[in-house]
Amino acid sequence: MNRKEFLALTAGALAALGTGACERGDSLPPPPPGYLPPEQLPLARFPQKVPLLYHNDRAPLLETPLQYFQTDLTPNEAFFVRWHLAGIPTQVDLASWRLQIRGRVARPLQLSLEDLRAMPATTLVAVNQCSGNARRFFQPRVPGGQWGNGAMGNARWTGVRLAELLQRAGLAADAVEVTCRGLDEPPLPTVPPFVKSLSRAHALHPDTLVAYAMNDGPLPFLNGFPVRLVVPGWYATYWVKSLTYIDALTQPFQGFWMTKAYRVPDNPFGNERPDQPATQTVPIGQFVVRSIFVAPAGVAPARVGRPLALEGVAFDRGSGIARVEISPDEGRSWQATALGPDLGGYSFRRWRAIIVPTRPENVTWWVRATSRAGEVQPLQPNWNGGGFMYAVADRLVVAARS
Amino acid sequence: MDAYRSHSPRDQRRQVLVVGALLLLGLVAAVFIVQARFNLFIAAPPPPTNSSSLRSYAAAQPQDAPIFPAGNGREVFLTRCSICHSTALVADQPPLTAVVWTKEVNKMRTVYGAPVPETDIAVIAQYLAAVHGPSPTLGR
Repeated sequence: MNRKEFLALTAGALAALGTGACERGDSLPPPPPGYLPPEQLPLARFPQKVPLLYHNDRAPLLETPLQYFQTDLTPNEAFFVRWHLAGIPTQVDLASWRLQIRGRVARPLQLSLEDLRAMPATTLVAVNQCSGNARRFFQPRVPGGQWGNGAMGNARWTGVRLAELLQRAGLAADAVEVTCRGLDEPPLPTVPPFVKSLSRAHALHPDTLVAYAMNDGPLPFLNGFPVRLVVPGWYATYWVKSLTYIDALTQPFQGFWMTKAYRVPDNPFGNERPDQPATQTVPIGQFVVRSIFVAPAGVAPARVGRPLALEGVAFDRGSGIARVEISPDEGRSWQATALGPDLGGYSFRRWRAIIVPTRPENVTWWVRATSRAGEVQPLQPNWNGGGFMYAVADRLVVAARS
Repeated sequence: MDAYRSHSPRDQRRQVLVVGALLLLGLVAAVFIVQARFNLFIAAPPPPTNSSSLRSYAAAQPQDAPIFPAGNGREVFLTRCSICHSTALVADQPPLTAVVWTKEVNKMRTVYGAPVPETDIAVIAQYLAAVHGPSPTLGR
């Protein structure tokens, strides 16, 4: 998209805002099922953060308002927050803090932040998305953090490859998995500490990073200062925050957060029936391809004959987005959208389209993304009791009036 | 003399400054009002940080105590469930039936070892089903 097209789109959006938003004496239709307008959620301000949609304070669960997805990179101070254990770290003394690499290695390492910064750096842009993002939209509803679409963000991560650290430490040939643990502590001795594991191959993958910079600045404390694991294309449960202990194991890790929690039915969209829980489950893995409406979202007023700009984001597990399409008729016909800058396969890909309502009616628009690997966002909702891997095409109600 | 003094160059400068400050305030207020009204602008990008600076960090975290309505079992719920997490987490849940609340309380006991006596399970589940069940009284 060139600058002229971009300006035209922006002008279209402003025109629509100026007319439709001031409609009088005509109430809007309801939004798609499950959609809760952001203004119905309270906002809360936490250290180093702008006001974010508030779900919980202990441990903090803070959601990014959709408007922050109108740029390619999500600002650090607007990036969503999700901790599991009440004992989150509230201070780190970098003079004594050390990243420890232990277990089945020839040379255990203790590295300061300065040590890490002195090593070869790798930078990539990647989406970090909570496993339970959009849990609020599952029908029937499921317990868990009731996220809308804002339990995700896109950032430029800079750090050291985990492979580099493991090689320096001399990872043993018989090490099959690597566990990662941060500084957060359980509220009771009976609560399992938050430890996640990666396979040997995954830990040695060149895109798996120990990141000390987020959008070229230090990580906010609530996003894992001083360093966090970056596991592009994989759900955020693996992106261990305030990472401090890395252990190489000769046996598969049997900890609670791998063997009991964050498990999904063993099929491509993690599907199961509410009345028939899956018997075969696996640890949650890579993203399913998704696109969402960002602006407008939920329900939007419009004027017959006036252009209305629709925009949103799409992403997948790393192949990149091939196309994003919108449909006014529940998927019988599809229209192309214009894609924004390509910041790499793991990044958000923004999309835009202009529609011109022809009749005074309510139309539910769908958006679906297709990845370069050929994965297509489904039109049928998936469901599981954990409320993970929400996938179905997003919807927007456009209420056109003459 | 008073008239002369009030029109001294110094006073004029001050007047210009005051008017300028008021205009600036008005502009800032207008920007905030427009933001609030239309939700149109996104936040400014993060302030530039010196990426080579190494800083330690310490901060207190905000705390919340949502109001739960009166009812049988309220004190038991507040006491037991806030040991490990904020009750805001409970308020965040969708309306759930007593059966599902019972499952949740049992999960907290068996999976996380929450110190909830067996006799309190039904008390908590019944209270939550009453205030945050299919016909809830808890506004959220």
